[in-house]
Amino acid sequence: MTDDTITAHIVEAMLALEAAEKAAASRAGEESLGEWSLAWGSVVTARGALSAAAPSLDAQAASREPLAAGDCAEYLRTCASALDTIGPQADMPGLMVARAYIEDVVREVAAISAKL
Amino acid sequence: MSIARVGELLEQAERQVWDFSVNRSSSAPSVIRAWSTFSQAAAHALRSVPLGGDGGPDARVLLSKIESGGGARWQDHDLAFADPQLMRAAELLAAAGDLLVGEEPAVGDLRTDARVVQSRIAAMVSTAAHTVEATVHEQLQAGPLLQMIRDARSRNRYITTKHLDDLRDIELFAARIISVPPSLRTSRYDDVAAITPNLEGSLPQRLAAWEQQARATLDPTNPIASIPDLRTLAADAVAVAVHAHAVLAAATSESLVASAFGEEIGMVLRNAGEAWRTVAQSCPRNVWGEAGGSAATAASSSSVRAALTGLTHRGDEWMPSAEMVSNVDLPETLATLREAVRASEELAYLYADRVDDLVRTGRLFVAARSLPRDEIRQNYDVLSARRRGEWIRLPAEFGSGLTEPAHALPSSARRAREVLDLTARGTGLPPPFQQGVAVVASETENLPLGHLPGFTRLHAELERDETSVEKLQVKVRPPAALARESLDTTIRKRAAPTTAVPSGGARTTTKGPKRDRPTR
Repeated sequence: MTDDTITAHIVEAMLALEAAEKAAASRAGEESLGEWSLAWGSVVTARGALSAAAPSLDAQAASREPLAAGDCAEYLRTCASALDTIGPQADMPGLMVARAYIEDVVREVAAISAKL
Repeated sequence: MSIARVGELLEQAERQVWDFSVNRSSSAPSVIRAWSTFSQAAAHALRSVPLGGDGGPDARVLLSKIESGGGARWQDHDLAFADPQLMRAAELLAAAGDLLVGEEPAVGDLRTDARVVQSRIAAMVSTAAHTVEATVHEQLQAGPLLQMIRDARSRNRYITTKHLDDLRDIELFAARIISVPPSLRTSRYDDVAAITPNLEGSLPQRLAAWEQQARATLDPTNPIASIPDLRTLAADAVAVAVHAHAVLAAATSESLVASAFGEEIGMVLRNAGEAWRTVAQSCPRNVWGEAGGSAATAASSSSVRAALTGLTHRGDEWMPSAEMVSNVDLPETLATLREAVRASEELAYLYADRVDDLVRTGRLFVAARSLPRDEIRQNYDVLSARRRGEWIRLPAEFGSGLTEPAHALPSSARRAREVLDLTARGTGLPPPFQQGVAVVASETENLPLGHLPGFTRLHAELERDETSVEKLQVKVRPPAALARESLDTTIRKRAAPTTAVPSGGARTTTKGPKRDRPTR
């Protein structure tokens, strides 16, 4: 996998996470303090971890058009899938940590969604 | 979260084996005992390399040599110590083996990567076997040392030269399966990893660690401005408010806190949480700092979240109030969360200052294209950057979207801390007292600023001279339209009974409609 492909996947993951965060924030706003507020916070933490893994790509992701509003769980799956596509990379151990955070949030949001 | 990668584990193991080989400082018994553990770990790691089968005939022979003899099972109960470096190498190798277990058999190019891993393990085995054999051989010649060493299986055999021959065989076969040049040391299997959450520490410890990390992020002397870290911190403060709210709700539902009081505190906590969330969301996506997020902040955030969730959740579900009350030491937990809310208040002030500072000193960046053209018409540098699609330092005049929510933060955080402080001794007290708390809670801002050491404001009040009209005057708030004469009358009338009532619960002088602070 070339560096450009890896970069594209990470930026895609960042954009998906940003859209997931927006969706979670919207749900958190509806219910005041509750589980969506926690889920939103977990997405923010995961975004921070992804930023730590690839800090040079933050600005690149921010320069791109944001994704349209959508379902939080769906965007989280998109994000996880983009990172899965990359697979393990010798020089980016932080990416695996970020992926672990994202997998946790995917589970958290899936559990909330299942209750609805 | 912490991460363990095969590549790093192997590297650390290699370092240990190399040091063990160079130093040769241990006695033969301690070396042999460590070898016993090391050889088993190495066999496990070799078997885990995803080459299918046993990784080739030489590897099969090597494994059988390790398992059938070669001193793999040498042990002696009289030996108190094993060589620490070889033991550490064994632990690391075993961990690497654990990570590789379950990998699909390598095919195509991946076989080369698997061979690299196998070669690295074999090189360690060869080096360790050589060193053990040399150490034992030297010391055997020096005296009857090895008479103390028995074979663990037969329990009564002394080490013989055959054992040393086995070690030489292991060294030889290990060297034969090194199929890649030493220069080829990295492989895709280096990144097979296990990630484990940092679960060490109690809730107070993790909150303390989180606060420390947050303070480092907000430190005005910290040269690195990281927007993701600021947002993570704000999201954590929301989580603190959410969980404090949940614990308080449990206490209220179990009548440990008066319901009106609980509702009011709940509302204030909600406001505080919302203020933090607003701050986190106020940062536009195209405004960025000098650095990305930090792994340390993400880790402390994850750790504190896990601890808080463990308090209020059973699996993915919120714990029912009754269960929470029976599972959790409620007063203690409330005390911990009070500390967390106090920390949040202090962080709120620091946060507001930090955002101010970042905006004022131009340490945030913005995509010039996102700035409205009308508002930068006079600024030709920004206009040209906009045309070129560049990032520029955020002009201070565009920073209000960040600073205004941050400025609103401390007041809601302070209010949350103040009302939650009132639960300091509110639980478990008789109902009249709780009613009194509920009244005072709605008028907290009228309490004197100072309080006695070790007491929160309410209790500091109770410890004061309750007959003092001058002090009561501070607490009583007449309607704004009330004349000074009426105020004094009201105070005297209400102050009189308090001298006869020992409990603070009867001090209902603050009851009644909300009043403004009297002019003195």
